[in-house]
Amino acid sequence: MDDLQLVEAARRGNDRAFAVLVRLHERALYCTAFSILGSSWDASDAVQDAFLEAYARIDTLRDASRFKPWLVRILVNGCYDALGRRRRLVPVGETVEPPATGERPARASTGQPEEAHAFIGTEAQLDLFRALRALDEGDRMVLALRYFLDLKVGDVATALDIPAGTVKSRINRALGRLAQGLGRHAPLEVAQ
Amino acid sequence: MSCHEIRESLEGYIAGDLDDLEASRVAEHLATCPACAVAYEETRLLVGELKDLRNAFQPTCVFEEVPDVSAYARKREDAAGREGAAGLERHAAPGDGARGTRGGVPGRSWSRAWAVAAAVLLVALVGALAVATVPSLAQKLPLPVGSAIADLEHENQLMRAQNQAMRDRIDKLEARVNELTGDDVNVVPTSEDDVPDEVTMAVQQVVIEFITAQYAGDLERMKELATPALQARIDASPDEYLRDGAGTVSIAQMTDVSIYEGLYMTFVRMSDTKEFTDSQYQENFGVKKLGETYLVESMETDA
Repeated sequence: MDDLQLVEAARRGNDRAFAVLVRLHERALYCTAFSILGSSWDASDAVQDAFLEAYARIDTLRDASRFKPWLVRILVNGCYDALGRRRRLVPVGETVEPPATGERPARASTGQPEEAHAFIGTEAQLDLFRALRALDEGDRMVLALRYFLDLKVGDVATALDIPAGTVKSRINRALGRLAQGLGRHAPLEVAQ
Repeated sequence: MSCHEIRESLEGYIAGDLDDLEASRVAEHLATCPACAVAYEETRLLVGELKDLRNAFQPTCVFEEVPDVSAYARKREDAAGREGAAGLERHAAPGDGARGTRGGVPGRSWSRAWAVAAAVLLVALVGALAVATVPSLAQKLPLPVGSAIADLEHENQLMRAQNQAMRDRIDKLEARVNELTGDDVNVVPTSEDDVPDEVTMAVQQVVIEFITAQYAGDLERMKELATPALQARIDASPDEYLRDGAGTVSIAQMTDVSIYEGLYMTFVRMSDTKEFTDSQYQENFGVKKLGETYLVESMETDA
């Protein structure tokens, strides 16, 4: 079963099909939300909210083949909302929470919910994640949508509501800044 | 195209988004411009690292991908084929194949029944393993989706428990058969029939003893292990049943026991050292319980 069949079944009220869609997309949405929001708790909330909204509104999705960009759009809007709320609440700026690692003590002892995802990557991946997190919001948003969610440029444009040309140049710029954040030179810039 | 334009297009080139004409222009440029070729490699590396970063997050609640059931079924069949289980469904007609001359009871073929039994089992396994586990995250979703996911998880746990029970049962049967034969025999589940394990073990034991007698050339022992009907057939054409002179037998695989038309059936794949040392053939046994004793009612050979 592909997304299309699942979405069509879900639209007919098949909750099992929707449950499968949740499973299929959760991880990619989570990584995206995490890289945008920088907090696993906020990311989990954003993903959950996105699925809730998608569930409630799935009958408004006209073209079932557009499920993923539509879902991503919902997630991105939710992330913007969360960032907006955080700015109002925390005027001193964003805090960057490192991704949780497997060795981290269980949150249960502190009364917080259990960690939804553990970071099992290498040191190099942790560096990459930190470099990604250090980018500005727009840059990491396009990279997350493009590479974590495998969206086409056109779908990134739709999800972010910006022109495709802007997406392309923003991806190139973000890749350059990411490379610099890793101590490499920006590969897409032509040396003077 | 200038280096600047090439760099602008590299990301799309790597993603495969460019049309053929654009892509060939980029490729031509990269072939002649070392600086852009380096930029291409660096960008490709960075993009690959980013894509891999997704996998650096492990859901602590297990989040399996939902397999495509039909693809999974094919994979399962392939795996079964490698293990030789598919061989149990691949029946040659009597007289067909290298070992076909070794006998067999014409006019009665269990192949279809076995194939059906195996297919039923396959469906059960596919159904079991196609159900993925549930994220705790999604369990927080409200009813009814939350309950649909909880149902999936519940079914999945049941299926896993069933699979584990089956694995345990097969391990037990294998240990017993290995003890009887001294070979490392693979026991293949083929049936959903509820044959109790002690019956399966008794049937497998008489079959293993029968095979041992075949290779020992011990006609009398074979007849002791046979029903009167089979005794008559052995008397009529002993050469179809005797394997003396075929060297040492080694049993590779046995099915568990199924019931078909009142007979307990098991298939045995084996090889011996006479002709094709590395090829296997198969004997299909039907066993009857007379009084308290299990006796071989019929044996046919498959290539």
